[in-house]
Amino acid sequence: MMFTFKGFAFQTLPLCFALCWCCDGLVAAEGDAGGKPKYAIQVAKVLTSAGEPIVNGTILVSNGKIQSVGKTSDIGVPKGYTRIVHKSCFAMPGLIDAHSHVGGSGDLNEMVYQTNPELRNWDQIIPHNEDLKVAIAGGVTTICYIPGSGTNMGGWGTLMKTGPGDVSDVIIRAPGVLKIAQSGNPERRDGEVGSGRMGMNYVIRQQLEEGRLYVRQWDDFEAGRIANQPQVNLRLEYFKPLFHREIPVVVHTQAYQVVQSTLRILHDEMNLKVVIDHGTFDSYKISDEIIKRNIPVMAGPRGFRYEPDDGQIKGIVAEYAKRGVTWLSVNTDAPVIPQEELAFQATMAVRYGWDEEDAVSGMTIEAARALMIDDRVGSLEPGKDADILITTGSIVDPRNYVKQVFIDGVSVYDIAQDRRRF
Amino acid sequence: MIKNDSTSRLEILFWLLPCFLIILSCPTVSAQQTSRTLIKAQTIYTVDGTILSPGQVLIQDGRIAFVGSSIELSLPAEEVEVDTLIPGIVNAFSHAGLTGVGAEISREVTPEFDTASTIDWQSRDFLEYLDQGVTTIQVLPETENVFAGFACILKSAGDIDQRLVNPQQGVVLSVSSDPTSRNRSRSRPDSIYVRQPTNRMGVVWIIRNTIHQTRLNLGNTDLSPQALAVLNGIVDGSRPVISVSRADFDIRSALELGETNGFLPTIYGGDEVYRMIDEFKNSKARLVYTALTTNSAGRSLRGPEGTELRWNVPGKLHTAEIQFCLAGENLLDQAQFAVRFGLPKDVALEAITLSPATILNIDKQLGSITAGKEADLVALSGDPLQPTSRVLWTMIGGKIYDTP
Repeated sequence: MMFTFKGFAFQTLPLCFALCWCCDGLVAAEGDAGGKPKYAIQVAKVLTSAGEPIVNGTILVSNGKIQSVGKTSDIGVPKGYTRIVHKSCFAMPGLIDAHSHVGGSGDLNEMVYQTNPELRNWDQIIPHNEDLKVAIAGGVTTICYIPGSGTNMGGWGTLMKTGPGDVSDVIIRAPGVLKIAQSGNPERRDGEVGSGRMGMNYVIRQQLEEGRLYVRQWDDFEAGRIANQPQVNLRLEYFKPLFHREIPVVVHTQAYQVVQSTLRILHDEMNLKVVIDHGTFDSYKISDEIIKRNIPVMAGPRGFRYEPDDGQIKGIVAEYAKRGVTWLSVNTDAPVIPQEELAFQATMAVRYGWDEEDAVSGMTIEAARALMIDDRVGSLEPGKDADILITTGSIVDPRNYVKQVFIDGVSVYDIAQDRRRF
Repeated sequence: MIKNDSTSRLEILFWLLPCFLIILSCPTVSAQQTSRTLIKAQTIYTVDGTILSPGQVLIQDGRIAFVGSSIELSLPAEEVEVDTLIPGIVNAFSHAGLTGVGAEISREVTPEFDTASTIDWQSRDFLEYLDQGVTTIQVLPETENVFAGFACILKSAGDIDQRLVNPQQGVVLSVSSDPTSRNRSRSRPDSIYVRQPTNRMGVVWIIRNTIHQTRLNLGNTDLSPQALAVLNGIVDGSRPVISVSRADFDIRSALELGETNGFLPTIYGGDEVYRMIDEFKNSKARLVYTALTTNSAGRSLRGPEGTELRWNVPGKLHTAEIQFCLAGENLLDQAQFAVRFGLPKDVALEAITLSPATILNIDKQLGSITAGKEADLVALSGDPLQPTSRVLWTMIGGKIYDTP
């Protein structure tokens, strides 16, 4: 049975490629998918983020995607595949940072109004910029590039790869997320409505209600419940995927009370897909409510908190984990913490008690699920983008480092040729 | 070899009669209008495909009457001998003569405002341009608001009522961070500067929204009927759009906004176009490139972005067959520098004469030494692309302006 299957695969694969090549003829002129190399990457251990680690494993990469993952003894090196051997090294999925500001222009905040659903940041992406080149050396292959937290609603962010290519190559999804900031930074104590915390909650609710009403009108029209087509309002257009729960809202929210209002307003009242995208200070104390609602926490960049009750310094991620939160990762808020230090954020979380394997899956598949891009990235599974790190060992051990990085099946960093940067 | 000027007696009468009448009423003007000048040059770069060596140009009534290796005159003409002759230089991006604050800083959407109304015609800027051989200039408003207003095209010298070539050439959009420079979010709330955009995303939004409102005819009450007429012109493609954009993502945004809304902007600035040559080529947009450095230090940039990449942008544009011109200051120097790093000589000269004229849609009357075009010429002491050559004089509409 197995043999037959293999035979089938080998006979049809070249044909498939020939077909792909022809179909892509027009596109391939721009030098994408069709011409990508095929690799058999052999390592001592594969951390797939989709099940148990594979000892002495091979990852087959073709056409920018992962074709298969398994034991080297099972897979071998099929004809036409270049063998890449990293003896005694680990392979793992590329890291994902759910909170980054270095994907393009650092001009992040439009500050006149408290809510800015009219703004989007994919017009100012700079693919593979200097910050991202260094990020790759730290193993980061996907970022959630978002507007700043200068206002309650900073605008729409972009999910993008850190690797080279033009804008359309690197974007995973745009609009990728909505950015909302509660308390702290947007608290302006002057000017417009929303100068204080009650005002900000009011403003956020009002804006989301306006968006929800707009989406409902269009839904009603498209379902034939109302006859007249609503007018297109560019300012509210991107609320459609948000209220359809196709994209999440990433929330600058930290401290117990603020996270509590995040849960209440954005989840309970607005029924949005919510990502807690700081969750620092004493927010971990509301873990029960977070678990009840199945909401992911992308904690950071602040990693620690001094607990006055017992005089102890707590690791924030470890405190969440201790209370049962499993949908959990770290962030850098780059450039607050340099983009390449994402793994170091996790390393310090492990230092305070976060489970090492959870840290690996946290920075990969859990972050991908939170951002709703786990169909593309986050684990080493057939069909997903070939975003692969080769490391000298566990990425959350500070003695280890990244040796090679593949994004979409292309080697974008290799210390054998490039100098080791991190 | 052109043998011509066999004007018949009847035709001479036809010309002389009105001239005679004008002489009676206004002797100075008439003297100019009847003037015929024959310029004999060692070399003429016509920039319409030929180099004449030697060559002659006959100027009559402010226009180029004939161009050839030698011209036999049947009527007397004042003769001028020079070493080298090139067409008047066209600078497509300037703020010359703009007075007052060059942008409307109280609001973001003022597409109907015109630069022509604020030109100081005796500004010393124009004398400097004459010295450099620049005869035609496009003046853009400053880019501190998003829809900045009309650019105008004018001559560096001449009678004031004839210097304006086109008062409303194109509408200037600032697809850049420039409009964010004055605006503030946290200030006295009654300040005019408390408004969008304070940020680049806000600039993109204002353009998207303004065009969207125009398309839907939503009757934005802030805008005058004149402004709406201009915006409708952008939307229906009848108004040329000038987008001042320098960073790669600014250029990309301008092209994308154009594509989404049915217009093709001409990009002015283009500093980082070298990062997206193929993408730019595919857009079919034209580029008025103002970022050529003429010394070895590319600002504070180090590595190839500070040197080869920036020096050879014109060469790359030419190889990619992108329609472009050089613009800004010291255009002869720019052309020389571009040649040094890879632009063919003939293309370099074209890039400061015929190419900008074509982009400005005035190439029917300007941009090359061609019979029928206006007599805007520059005389040089030698090869125009050699740094040892200097401008001897500049001619506009048949009149010679000596340089100091």
